Amino acid sequence: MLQILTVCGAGVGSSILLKVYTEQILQAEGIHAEVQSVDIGSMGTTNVDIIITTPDLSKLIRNTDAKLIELVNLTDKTTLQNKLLEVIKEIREGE
Amino acid sequence: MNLWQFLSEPAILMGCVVMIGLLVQRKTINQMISGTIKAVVGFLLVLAGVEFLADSLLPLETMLRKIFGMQTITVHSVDQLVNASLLAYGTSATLIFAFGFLVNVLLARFTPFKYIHLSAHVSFFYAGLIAALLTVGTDLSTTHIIWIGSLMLGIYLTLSSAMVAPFMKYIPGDHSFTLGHSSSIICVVSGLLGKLVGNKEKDLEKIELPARLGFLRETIPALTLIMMLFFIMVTLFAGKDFVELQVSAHKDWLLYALLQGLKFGVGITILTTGVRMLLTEVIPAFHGIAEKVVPNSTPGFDLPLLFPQHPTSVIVGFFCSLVASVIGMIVLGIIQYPVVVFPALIPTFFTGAAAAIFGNATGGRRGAVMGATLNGFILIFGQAFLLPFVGNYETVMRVLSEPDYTFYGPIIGWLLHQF
Repeated sequence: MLQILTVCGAGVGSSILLKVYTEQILQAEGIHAEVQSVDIGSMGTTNVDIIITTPDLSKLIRNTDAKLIELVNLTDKTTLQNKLLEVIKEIREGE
Repeated sequence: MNLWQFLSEPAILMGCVVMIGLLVQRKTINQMISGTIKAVVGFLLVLAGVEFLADSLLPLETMLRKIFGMQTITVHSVDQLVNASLLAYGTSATLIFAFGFLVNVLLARFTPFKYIHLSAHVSFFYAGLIAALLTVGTDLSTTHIIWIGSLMLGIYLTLSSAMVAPFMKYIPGDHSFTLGHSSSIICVVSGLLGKLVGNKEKDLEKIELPARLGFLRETIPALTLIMMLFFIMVTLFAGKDFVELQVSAHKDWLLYALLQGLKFGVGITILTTGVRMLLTEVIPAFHGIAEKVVPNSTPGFDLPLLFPQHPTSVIVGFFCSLVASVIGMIVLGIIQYPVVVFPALIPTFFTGAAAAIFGNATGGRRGAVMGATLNGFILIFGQAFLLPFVGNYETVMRVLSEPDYTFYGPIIGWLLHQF
């Protein structure tokens, strides 16, 4: 199953919002994935397929081969949907 | 089996609330079991985090009293303090949290204030504050505390989101949401102040800060580092000998200061992990209810949504608020104010940023700096006024009291004491 992380500074507010949106998008598309919200300070990056976060935080993420999705505007669900589906397509084609 | 005893155990009660939330979302049995257990474990982690934080921060009080030449008091044992703390208000707080959200939804449905506050971590701790204020300040029964508290929380959630809404148009970017955050008062005040004194053409964001300051966005390591530095300063001022004799149980002062700072880091890690486990399962239910019951409402989201567009304001705001809070702490010490307070770093970081973002939006650099500085004063003086009214919720408020707590809290506490 796809493993997706949504990341923000404290892992309590924005990342949970991103998780809600991501799950809504995936559900509408019928894609199964596990979505977790975490904070940038204590996140682990092993066995993760996709990381969704903001440009300023994505600079701080190291040692991962997960695909990064950067969103400047976290409430912009359309952009999130486009980027997410594109990345999932890439991953599936790569397999 | 005594059902009432089960339900008045806050962790169990919280589990029931979350289970209802999961039922509303029509989750499978498996998801319900795992979600409910996660929420209960999360709730207990919050308690554990607060205990750790108390353990880290309490010695500051002894050392600051020494520095300001105040009478030293015997520090209560941490266990005693924390066991009494959240648990005493936990039952009413949990129900106020759940019903307060429903009051917010009803207000949005039936009044012109079409705003729904969706930052559950804010309303969770605000529910605790209201429960504590009502329990300490009145002799109302638990039932009365719950319905009065729910009304208070619902009104707060609705109006605080509504108050910030008119200022969102000054912020660049998406305008489909407002903020649901416990910095609402400073967002408004800072926005007004910026209009009065500043010039929004002198945009703070045009200044780019060195990239190496970017590490400050990693909240936990950044705040831990600052807390270690703060401990080193305080132990130095209190005197190495005093610290090693009276506070650290003969541990080297510098090692002690570093360890206490790190312990603070452990505490906030446990706390935020707990909050996350507790609320990730609830928040989708809140979203679902909001969309179903009040489809034309504006959601109130969490403050850090604004951070990506405002990297400079976040850092400048934090530092201005921190400096102001430290100054406030020293002033309170010099005038020998009986409650010893020290800057609450988590609120200083997040709400300092809020103040700078809104100050900058209407008044540029000057608006940002003045707003964030004022925020620091509201945080520290407000905390000093608030603590006597909240009883055992004190530990939580020493760590998490944001401007809406330190501004409205003392006013409500004072009013309750007038009756």
